[in-house]
Amino acid sequence: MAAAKHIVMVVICLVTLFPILWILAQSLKGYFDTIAIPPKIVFTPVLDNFVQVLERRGFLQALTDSLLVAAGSSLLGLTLGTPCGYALARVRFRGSESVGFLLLITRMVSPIVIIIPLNRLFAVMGLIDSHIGLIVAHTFINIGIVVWMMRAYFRDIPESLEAAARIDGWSTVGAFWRIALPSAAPGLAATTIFCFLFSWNEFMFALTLTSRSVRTSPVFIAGEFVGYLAVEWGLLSAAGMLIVLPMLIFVVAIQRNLIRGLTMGAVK
Amino acid sequence: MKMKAEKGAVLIFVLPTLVFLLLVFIYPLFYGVYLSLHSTAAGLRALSFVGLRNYVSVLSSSLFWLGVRNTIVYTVGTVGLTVGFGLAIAVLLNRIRTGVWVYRALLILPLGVSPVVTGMTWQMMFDPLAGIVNHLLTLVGLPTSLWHTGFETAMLSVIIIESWQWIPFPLFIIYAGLQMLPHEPFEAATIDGATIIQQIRYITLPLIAPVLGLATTLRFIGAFRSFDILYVVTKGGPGRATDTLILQAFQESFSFYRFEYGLVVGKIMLLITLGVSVLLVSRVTRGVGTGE
Repeated sequence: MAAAKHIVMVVICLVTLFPILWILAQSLKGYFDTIAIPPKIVFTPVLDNFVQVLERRGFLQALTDSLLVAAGSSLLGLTLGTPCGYALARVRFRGSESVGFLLLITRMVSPIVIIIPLNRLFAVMGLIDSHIGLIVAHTFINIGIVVWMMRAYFRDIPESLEAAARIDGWSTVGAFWRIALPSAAPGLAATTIFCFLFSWNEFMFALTLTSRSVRTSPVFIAGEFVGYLAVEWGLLSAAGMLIVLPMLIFVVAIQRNLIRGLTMGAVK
Repeated sequence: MKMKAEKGAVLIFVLPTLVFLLLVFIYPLFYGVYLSLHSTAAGLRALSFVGLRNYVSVLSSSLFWLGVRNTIVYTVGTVGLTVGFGLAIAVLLNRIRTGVWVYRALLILPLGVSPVVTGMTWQMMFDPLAGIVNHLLTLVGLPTSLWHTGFETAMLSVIIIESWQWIPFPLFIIYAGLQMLPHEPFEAATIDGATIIQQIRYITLPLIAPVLGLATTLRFIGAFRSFDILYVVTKGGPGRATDTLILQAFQESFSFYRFEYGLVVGKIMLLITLGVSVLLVSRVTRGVGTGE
């Protein structure tokens, strides 16, 4: 009985992993193997695609742009959202439920809802096609997660330490900064990875708010390898692998918190 | 926190987030409503007030209702597949004692793959001529398909792709719920001679109904606003076979510069999302599965 369960589970895992294994296989094929009909399952692995993709104009720049935007928006989101999450965890104030709901909405709506006015607004402010503009847009995507996740983490920390600090004459801000924040370090780390992942993979804002000077990797890969007559499958796969691999490591690293974040803290 | 310091402190803590949302969310939202009441035919700089005419023209166009139909099919299809498979795999995983961490680490991977890469990978796999899927089907003697390039099969194909990406999400929500179930009812049922199927049907499912509801609601919202995979794989085609509301809103606005269409459809999608979120918020604030 136990063996049967494991056999079914292994099959499920293989089906789940198949697309990832296939893009890995394609990325390691020589040019003629990638376009072979029928597709080759057994082949001699080569690194040509990876070498070519790294030399391709724009690819390293796209990775750099993605890195800058993801790091920038994670930092901005955490700076703005962590204190808010703390307040929501510790105090019930007038309008606290509305703040929570508003933040939930930002996670639920599609960017399409604000993308046209935001585009116009950014154009007026000179933020179109800039790192700053995309960082702001991605912070909008992440701020709800930051607040709700940090609220959940702060709730797990006993209030007594902060209460003691306040009896010693520390201010609320001091107690937050020196007691609560360090205790929530694991939560901060998980939330940072979370924000980074979402920004790294984000497509719609990147597609509309940036074009020439800034091009993140999803936009790059979606446009670069599809020619008029053919798709460069090998190069595409190698680029895809390089973009996805760090995120796969992140996802495994924050497994439990991933579901917590995606459900806005509703599931531990 | 003591009452006196509280008010000022709360303000300092919450204000940065609120100001940010005011600038990047609330203001664009109202600005969008304002724009949607104007004709943008001459561009976003030369507006003329037309009242609700944009809404009337969108709601009376066959394009819009086709988008509604496609959105419903896409959403219902992916919610059904992801929650169905997620539930089945979660129940199985919950009955396994050894090596669970390996399965967990492997099964969660699709969530990390950038949807753009997911779309391009499946495009490659579904390629009618050179794709691995048709090749494997031929090997086992099954008929091949045009997949995303065929008018009849495109919708099913994108539903499969979206589901592959998102099955882990309901799976792990439900798994978390299963892990928290008490053992007693199952032990009692086993003593009473209930089969595994009976236990799942009469004990597990009723007990995890709230978690199942949460997973379904969240997947509904996710599928409803899904854009990346559709945009990369079909762009709404072939013909308009996979043209959902969000794709229409995007392409009418940014490919054909019919901003009115995107603005109006955006507002309609906002209303639907708001409705579902109100449903959801009661669950989230109740803290499903956390015992909060």
